[in-house]
Amino acid sequence: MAHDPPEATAEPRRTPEARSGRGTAADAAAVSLAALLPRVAAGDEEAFSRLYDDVSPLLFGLIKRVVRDVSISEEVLQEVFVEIWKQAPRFEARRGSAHGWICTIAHRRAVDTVRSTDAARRRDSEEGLRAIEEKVVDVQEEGILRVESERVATALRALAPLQADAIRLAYFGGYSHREVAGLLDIPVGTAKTRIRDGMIVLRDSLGVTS
Amino acid sequence: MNEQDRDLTGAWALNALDAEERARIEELFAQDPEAAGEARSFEETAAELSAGLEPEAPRPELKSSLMARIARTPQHSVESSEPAVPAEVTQDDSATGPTHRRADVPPHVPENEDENVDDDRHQHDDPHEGRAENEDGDETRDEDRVEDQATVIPLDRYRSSVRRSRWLAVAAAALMVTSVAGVGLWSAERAAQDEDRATIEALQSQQAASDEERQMISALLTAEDTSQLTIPSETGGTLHVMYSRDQQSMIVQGADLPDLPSDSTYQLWIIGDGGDSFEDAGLITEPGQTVMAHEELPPESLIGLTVEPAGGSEQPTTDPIASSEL
Repeated sequence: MAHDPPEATAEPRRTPEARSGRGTAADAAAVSLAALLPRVAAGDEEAFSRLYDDVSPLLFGLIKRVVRDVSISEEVLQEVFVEIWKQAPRFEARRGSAHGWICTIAHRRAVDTVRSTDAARRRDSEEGLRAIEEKVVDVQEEGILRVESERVATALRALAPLQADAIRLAYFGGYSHREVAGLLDIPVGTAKTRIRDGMIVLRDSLGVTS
Repeated sequence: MNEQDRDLTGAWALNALDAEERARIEELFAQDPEAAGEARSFEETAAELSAGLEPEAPRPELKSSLMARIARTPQHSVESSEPAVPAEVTQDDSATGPTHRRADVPPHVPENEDENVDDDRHQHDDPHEGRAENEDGDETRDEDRVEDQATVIPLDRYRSSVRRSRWLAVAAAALMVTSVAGVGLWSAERAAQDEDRATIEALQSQQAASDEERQMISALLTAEDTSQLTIPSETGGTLHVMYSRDQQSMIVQGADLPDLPSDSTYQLWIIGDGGDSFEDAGLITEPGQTVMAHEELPPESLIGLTVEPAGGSEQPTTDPIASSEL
């Protein structure tokens, strides 16, 4: 930035989307999300309906990955959208993207659900653990099927294996960092720093600007 | 912010903290813009991870019920996610009371049950506005109408007072079972925490509610429309009631109800149709017994307590000694 003032003034400003260098469907979705959310905030039910159509498959996929039980996932999905509806007036674009905001609401709700319902008990068996670990590993496999996912899969592969495991268990498995420590048989402090270090690498390789 | 907590930014963004840690780091964000910025960037990164999953369209029926629901759900007003701007922030709050106390946290920071850290499995609030939920929730405000007969505590306040609540032992037991079952996952460090020990003791002394009961407590603690009532009985003692129409669930606990002769029992009823229909909601045969009922709670229905012959009755045979609108 510091060394190119002449070009910067001569060239038309590039949009953040163009600059990020990932001209994918996700960008189009991000654009429409950013446009829809203020309308939702103003109480526009039609905009909400469109927003639902746009993001519900993504959010349902995310919730189901964490929650696993289909009918509980459906409930969580509904709660998440009610939450989005209620909270939309408080969304502030300068604090982050609409996409990030919505995913946070969904993920938070999904995680809280598995930690508070018997879904947690079910998976807390040895068997459940193996299943989830296998499922988590599948993330990479599945990812290859989609262009957008390949980006994520590549980013995950760039992590040290323990960083990747810790992040996958926490994000897709819904485990707390203490549980992650237990699962990976490492001290809590180590799990904490591994997650953070991994997130730094991921952030950089996914091109997220802070 | 100390270095240890600073390391929690990653876990924060992945929602991998328990309620206490979450509250602590969010407080620290307010004083450490660098950590807050890092947390925000991790939050965006986490959202990118979700793009790595296969999307899956939910059943179409879900949308219609959702649309119907939001049509009658008021949105929050704009205030309160701003960083604290003294003097200006408070002006709108008078109508709804002290709703948003911690406005000074960064990204889209989840306000959570920070006092309510008995167990980190206990955090199923709204990510962003936990406490405000019942005050501008989407259902009618039944609470206001029954203030005369009973004290109604909206769930948000209920949650913050849960430590003192008589539900705590039951709820803690229910929630702790989860941890006990998964105890292998928990570090020795955590298991040694005093609070956990207390809940384990509560659990043992409680003789663990059945699965169904735990599920109900869990559902009630999560439901948005859950209310709590304390209803005095004419013959002494009180009933504590926690109920949710959404969940069609109710938990009733007797407190200090006078002992009855062995040929009679306390019986609970859901009274509908302006006093014409009576649904048996369970017997209270021992003082302090907890009764859980899974049934529809129609609008304007009442909960009532009568004294009946031992074994209970099909219909009440005496006048209620305690009742309240639900």
